[in-house]
Amino acid sequence: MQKPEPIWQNLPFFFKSQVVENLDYKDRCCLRKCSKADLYLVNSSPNRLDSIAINTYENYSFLSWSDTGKTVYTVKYYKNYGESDLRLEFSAAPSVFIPTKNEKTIFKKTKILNNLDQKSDDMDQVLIDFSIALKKLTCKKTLIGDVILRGPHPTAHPEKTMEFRERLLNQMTSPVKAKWLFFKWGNEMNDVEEILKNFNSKILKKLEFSDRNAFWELSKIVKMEQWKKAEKVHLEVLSHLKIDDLLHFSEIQMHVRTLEESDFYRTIDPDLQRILGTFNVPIKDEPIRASTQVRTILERRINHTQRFPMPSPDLVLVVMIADKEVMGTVCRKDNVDEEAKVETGILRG
Amino acid sequence: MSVEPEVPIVQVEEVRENPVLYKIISSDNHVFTISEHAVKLSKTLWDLITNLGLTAENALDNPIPVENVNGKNMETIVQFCERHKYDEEEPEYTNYIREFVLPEWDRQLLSIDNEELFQLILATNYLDIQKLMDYCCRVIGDMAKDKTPEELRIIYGIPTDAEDDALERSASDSPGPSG
Repeated sequence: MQKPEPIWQNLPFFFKSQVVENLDYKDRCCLRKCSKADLYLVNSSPNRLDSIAINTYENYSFLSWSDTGKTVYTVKYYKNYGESDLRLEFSAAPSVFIPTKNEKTIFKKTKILNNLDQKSDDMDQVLIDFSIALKKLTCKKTLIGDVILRGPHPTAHPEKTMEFRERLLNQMTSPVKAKWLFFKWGNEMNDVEEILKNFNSKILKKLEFSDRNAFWELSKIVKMEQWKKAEKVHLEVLSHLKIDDLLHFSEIQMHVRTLEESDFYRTIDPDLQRILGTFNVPIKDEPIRASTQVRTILERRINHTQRFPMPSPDLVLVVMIADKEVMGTVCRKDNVDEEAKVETGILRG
Repeated sequence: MSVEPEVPIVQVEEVRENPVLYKIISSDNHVFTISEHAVKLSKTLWDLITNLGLTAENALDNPIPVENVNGKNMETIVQFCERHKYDEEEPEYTNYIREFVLPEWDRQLLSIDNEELFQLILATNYLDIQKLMDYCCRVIGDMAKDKTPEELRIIYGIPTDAEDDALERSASDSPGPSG
């Protein structure tokens, strides 16, 4: 094979940086291994990812990322203390698997690296790679989890969990530019606060906390800029949040045990509140009594049904508020259950 | 300075809607005509035209010498600019370049050997044509796709650190002008 003319070495640095910026992440990783100069180049060039996730499991650690959101790459690291071999399982899969349309896995390969430090384990390796990925990172979505134990009767694994958390916190020193943070963590609020601090509040738009069945004391978190400036929140945790802590969000998904109707009304879009407010009616949820099974099912997605008087005493405006839709129908007062268009939003969508 | 065209490599086909044409002379005295819309893709050339006060009336009588770009590269650049002169502005960067697939016409245009591509990149950089820079980046980046570090060293001509150190050592061992 004829050796091509060298091109890379003499290109202007800023041009090479632009090339690196647009390389897929795995190609960046290969380039940074070529020489010291390329290591420096890659580390100093902006890194854009759609998503990145780190997690540790009982027997392995994993790092996954997606360059554009279409394909997700995953590396599983298997290594125990005292061993010198690291087994890497590298795979790629479409972010959305549609049977008959695409393959579940694009590729899967295994690589074994020998002669590594016996005093390190898979957690060391994944944390090193995660810290490399964080350099100059701008990301749409960051997922940070901790030790997940699988099995019918998972038992706690406090040592590994604590070590992972401590080391992850230690290495997250520069602000991460991520639009969305998905956080699967225990309910140690100091850790949550420390991690959140590392996210640039001007960029962070969505917070997603998950810790099923656990109670989170969020009083400190709601005072942070990262909370105040975020636009969407998804809480799969239990908490005693006040409604005032949520009013700035344009989208809220959370579990609530009790919520006053008046508080619910305050979470509705202010513009809609203003429109509804002009009618000067007491807030009252009066769901329709659907007459068919289909309409009953459709009606279940409605969070609030408010009835407004019309100039004609025979008519009433029925406004139904669902998660992401508001539907209004003018009905005859004595035939509301039939005429209120509970299926409108679905048909439109 | 007035230079007679040796070989008019590129003739702009038809510019009915915009009759303003400019003449550009490459470093090796090839003359090119380029339309106003096309020349605007080069920030350097457009700044020059604006500063020289060239107008529709006097543009063709005042060719613009570009001493840093030879005729071969200028030909490619003029073809590219004419091809893309009416393109809509690219959206603000998201994952635009990464997701974007180089159109076949442009891929053909940029299917040149590494040395020529290197010279074209320098010329594009000098003329400040962002779109062509992006496309060249794409071409260079595509060379790295799915390659191992060892393959990349060959494709890009990257010496290993050991080779680099050896080169550095031999340079420092050389007596040089200081004797």
